[in-house]
Amino acid sequence: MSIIKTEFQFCKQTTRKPPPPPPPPPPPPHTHTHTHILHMVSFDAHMVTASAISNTVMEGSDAYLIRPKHQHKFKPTIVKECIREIVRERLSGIRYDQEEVADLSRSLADSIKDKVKSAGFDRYKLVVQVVIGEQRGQGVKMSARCLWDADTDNYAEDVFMNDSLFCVVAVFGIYYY
Amino acid sequence: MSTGLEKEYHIFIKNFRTNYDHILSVYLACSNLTLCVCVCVCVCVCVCDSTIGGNSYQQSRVNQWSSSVVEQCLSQLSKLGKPFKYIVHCVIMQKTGAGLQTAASCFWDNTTDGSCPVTWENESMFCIVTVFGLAI
Repeated sequence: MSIIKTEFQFCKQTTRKPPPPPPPPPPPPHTHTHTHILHMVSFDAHMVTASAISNTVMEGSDAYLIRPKHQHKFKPTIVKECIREIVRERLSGIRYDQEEVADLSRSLADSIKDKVKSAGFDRYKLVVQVVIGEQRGQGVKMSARCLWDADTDNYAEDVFMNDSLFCVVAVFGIYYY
Repeated sequence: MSTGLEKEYHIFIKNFRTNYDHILSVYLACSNLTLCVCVCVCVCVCVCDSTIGGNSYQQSRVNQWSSSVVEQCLSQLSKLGKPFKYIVHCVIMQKTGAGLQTAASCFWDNTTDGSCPVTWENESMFCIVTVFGLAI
């Protein structure tokens, strides 16, 4: 309780301080709390941003947002392009090799995850599932079901095939409220 | 893993094919992620056993199998009433000597979210079920 109170004082001080720069600030009534506040500024940036939000705008990484903004929403077409680009680049002309495929699939999943992460889907958790199989005329069936919030969460998938292997990548984006 | 958990784990592995209700009740009681994952494995195997069983690969029925595996897994998991969003992913492949590799890479909170891959097979096919649970 006391922490919140001192925090609030800090915010008021900062918002009031800038307008009158020349006059030196009045001597602190009790220096003890003042040092305490300064300490908190350096130590706990998290709380400072939280109080800044409550004071000024409801926009920041610490607020609870129920819905993503349109520009941050998970867009399957963009993700699909990311997948296609990386998979084409890494797998074209590659033959299925039992020894290499484990590392290959892992690094493929990692690089797709990094690429999608940098595409700017704010507050989304990502799950990248890569399946690489050998083509020997066998039947394969893949399916997925999700229990999630259809308004915010979405997925994208892409299939790549060559003579020797097939690769299916599915990326799921789950919004973190 | 503590000894108590380890014991519990072994009981699951031994009994999961027969004692399905017990698994669900323990899952409901557990708050530990590793135990949850262990129970997820059991649920997936149970579902595969009951839907596919000893059938041989048939192209006409594989659609139905794969969708009923994921749907049943999901419905069992959602019945547990844990605050998770779930993704259940299933691959069924006919056995012809061909290789198959799956990998997953996730960007999430490791302390609350988890995944559990399960491989299941019979004489004619492989089935790989992966469950991802993401805390809300």
